Amino acid sequence: MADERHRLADRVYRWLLRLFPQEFRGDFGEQMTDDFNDQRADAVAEGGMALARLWWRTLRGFAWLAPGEHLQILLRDASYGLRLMRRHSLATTAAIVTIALGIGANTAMFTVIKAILLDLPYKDPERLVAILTDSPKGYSAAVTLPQLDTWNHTTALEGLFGYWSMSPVVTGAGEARRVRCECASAPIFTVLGGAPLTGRTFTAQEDTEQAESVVVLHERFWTQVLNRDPNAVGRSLTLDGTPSTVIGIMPATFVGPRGRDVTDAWLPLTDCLRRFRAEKRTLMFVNAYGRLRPGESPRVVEAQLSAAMEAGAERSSSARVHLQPLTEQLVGDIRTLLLALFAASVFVLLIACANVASLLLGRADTRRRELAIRVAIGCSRAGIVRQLLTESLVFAMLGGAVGLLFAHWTLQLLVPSMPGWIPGLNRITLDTPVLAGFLVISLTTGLVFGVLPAWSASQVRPGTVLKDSVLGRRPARKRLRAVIVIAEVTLSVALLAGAALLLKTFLHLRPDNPGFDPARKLVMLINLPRGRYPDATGWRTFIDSLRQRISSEPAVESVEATSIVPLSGNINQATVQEDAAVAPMTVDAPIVTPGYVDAMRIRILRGRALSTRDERGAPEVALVNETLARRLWPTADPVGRSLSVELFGGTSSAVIVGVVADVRSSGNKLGARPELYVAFAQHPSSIMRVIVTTYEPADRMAPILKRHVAAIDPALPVGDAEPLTALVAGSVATWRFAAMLLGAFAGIALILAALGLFAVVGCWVAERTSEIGVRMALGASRARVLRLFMVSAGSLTIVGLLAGIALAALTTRFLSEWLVDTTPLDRSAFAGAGMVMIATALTASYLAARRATTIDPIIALRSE
Amino acid sequence: MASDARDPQRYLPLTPALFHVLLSLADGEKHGYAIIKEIEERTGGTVRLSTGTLYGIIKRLLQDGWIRDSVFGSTDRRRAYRLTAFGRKVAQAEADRLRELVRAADRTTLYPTAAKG
Repeated sequence: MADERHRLADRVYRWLLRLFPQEFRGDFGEQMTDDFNDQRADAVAEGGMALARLWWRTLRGFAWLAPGEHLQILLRDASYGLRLMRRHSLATTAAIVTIALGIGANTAMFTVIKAILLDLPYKDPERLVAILTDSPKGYSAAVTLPQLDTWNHTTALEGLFGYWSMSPVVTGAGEARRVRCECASAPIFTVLGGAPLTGRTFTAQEDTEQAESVVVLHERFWTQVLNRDPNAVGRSLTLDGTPSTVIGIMPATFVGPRGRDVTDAWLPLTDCLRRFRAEKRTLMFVNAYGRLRPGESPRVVEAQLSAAMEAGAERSSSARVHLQPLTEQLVGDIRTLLLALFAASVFVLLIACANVASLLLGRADTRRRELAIRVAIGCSRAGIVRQLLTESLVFAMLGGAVGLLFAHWTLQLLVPSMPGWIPGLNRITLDTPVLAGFLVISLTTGLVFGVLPAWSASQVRPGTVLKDSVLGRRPARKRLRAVIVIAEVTLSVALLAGAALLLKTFLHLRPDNPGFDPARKLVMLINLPRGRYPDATGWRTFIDSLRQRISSEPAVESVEATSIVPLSGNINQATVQEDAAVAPMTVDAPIVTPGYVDAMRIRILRGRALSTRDERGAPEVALVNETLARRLWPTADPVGRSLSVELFGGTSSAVIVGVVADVRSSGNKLGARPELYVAFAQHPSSIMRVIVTTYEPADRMAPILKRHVAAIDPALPVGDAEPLTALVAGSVATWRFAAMLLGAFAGIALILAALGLFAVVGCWVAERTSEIGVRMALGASRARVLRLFMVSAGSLTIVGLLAGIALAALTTRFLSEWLVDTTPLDRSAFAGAGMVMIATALTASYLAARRATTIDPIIALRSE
Repeated sequence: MASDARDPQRYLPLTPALFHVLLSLADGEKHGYAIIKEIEERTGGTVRLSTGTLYGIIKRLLQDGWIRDSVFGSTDRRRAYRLTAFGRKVAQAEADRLRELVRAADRTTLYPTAAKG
């Protein structure tokens, strides 16, 4: 019995000894075990708690000592590694820069992804949903107020709110200015999860017709306009002529459901609609957002809300409720693209690892003697693996430190070039979680590129190595390095193919040819407040006199106005119907002045443009674009046909007088949408965009335009006129960003792969110097020697190329959402990628192989 | 070894456990268990080293050349250790330092005079 216990204790103690590094165990393990057993025997003799105390003491001693012993060894290995690095400074620098590129690219992408996809500025964002209706016409985010009321009466959601936005003019705080307001029912703050900095948010009571007007300000507005006035809460601001009381200030971290941090203030939804003079409450559309109860299935809630809508008095046709996760709505579009770019940066990192692994393999070869001697004098293989791994980790950390700098610079370049519509750009920073991620990336990198060389080096057999070195033989680790080069080529080809696809899309989108001519055009928004401009006469007078004034400027070629600027994202829609038998169709309805089509150089395909004769009282006319013409009259000529047009709540009949070419819209993939152009004289609007064609640059012209507006109405705030070209450039920003970034990754990959190939071929040449000397002495021509290496390098490239094309075929589909008029397997893109790879590979191997042709046979043979 | 040029003062003060180990080797070579035992007896059981602590100290003392393996006292499994001349010097220096410290304490009125003697 006692014997048994003794054996058990002995085993436990020996097992615990494993906490120490092998070296320490080897030196002292046996003695320690013996001593412990003696101590144990004493304790047993002593009895009582002595045995427990002994174990406790022993464990505590181990816990103190073992980590320190490991650390000592780590530091010793690391400092040895650093000494070696200093000795081979060129190779070290190359390796560190390579790793830094990989880690930098990765860290930057990780930062972007974390900020945009993971750090949504809401409490439990996964429970937030946008409430859409689903009808045969498709999903619609537009919800009527009666629908909203119906849902409000259910308890299906934890909370929901209606949402709208407007830009009223604020007076009573400095100069008059337009502010961006989000209008929402009271639960917006609790649903999204935000508490005011000071004051309070509005109550459900304040979101009713009878309530006094109140407003909640954003911290930015409070800071920039009110200078952080401590008495801001309680004071009054005039919004579009109606006073509102400030009741609270939201912190800068609070962001509305659109995800973009551009809001200045929040108003109760009812108040907004009142301001908008929406008499016909049933006609107003808002957006609706809600929060699911914890653990609740969206499908169940959809069913409940649909049922409520059907039971409601205001039942709408066959619409059902569809809940879209808010995260999906905000970042769904960009997610695949960002993940694809992240994957690309991982490819770059892998290539960087491959390069450094190859380099370390080469170094391990030259160190074989040292390692062999270590093994011969009793260093364990595990010890060698540990030594080499520590060295590669030191490499990784050094590379990582430089990479962090790269990441910082990359972000500084990257973020401004990212398309502005992506929510959360301002949250992109290298913060603590990113740094933790970075540390993981760096250490993993060190392991990835260190493990292969370390394992391979630990296989040394001292006998063979020492014999080899005496005989001047060099080891052949060719196969491993060849495999590494193939892998590099493979990854590079996949990256090149992806970049080629995006580039092709970008070129196809032709930012220079969006269907209209943006050159020399400035856009200025005129938004006439309904308070002082209650009806169409005022709007017409204002726009007409403004156009007259501006066109008197000598530098101005033309002044037109439209309600929709292509690619800008602003919309006003009309419903058209040819006859009662056909379902009505919703189309974009630009309200334009007669010369607009001409000034924009939109081609007229049939019929005529609008003219000054199409005025109020004259027969109503309209133009259709190609897309609408094709939809309505696939075979017949649209000119002369008439349509019933429902616009701004009124219905009238219009005759089609012309067909114009499509222009790009801001919609999905910038394709054209069905459009019906109507005359401003016949359908005036209070919100128009004046388009000025001028030879003057925007910064010179903008103040002049503002002066003309002020001359007509000094109290009307207007923003600066912006060049239309900027709008066009902005519309392709996403593609430009993606093509640029992926192109940069592909470029880095290509350079690294070329370096890898160069090093390998160089290594072959060095290994076979004497053989080549013999061949050349026997009469082999230089060309022949060159061919010898080029063929080998070429076959590596071809294998990598084929694998790369296969990899690309598997991975480019993740870009498909962002490809326009090209497919993920586009042949020309793949061929282009392959060609670039081959050309680069041939150049790299030629440069390395050329050395072989300069070998002097005499010298080569003498060195034998 | 005797002409070790290092200055023992540089290593002072020693940790109590380390000093105890040096002391226990002062009157002859011992193996690990004997060291633990000796310290325990000398201190009346108040200082009990664990094997981990002891061998951590031994490793350091060997590295620094304060003790060395004894050729004579070792058996197959158990190695005995003995003080080197330098190790002895360091231990002496520490003892001197402690003695000075105690004297300094005595010169003050740290203890009430009545209790003295």
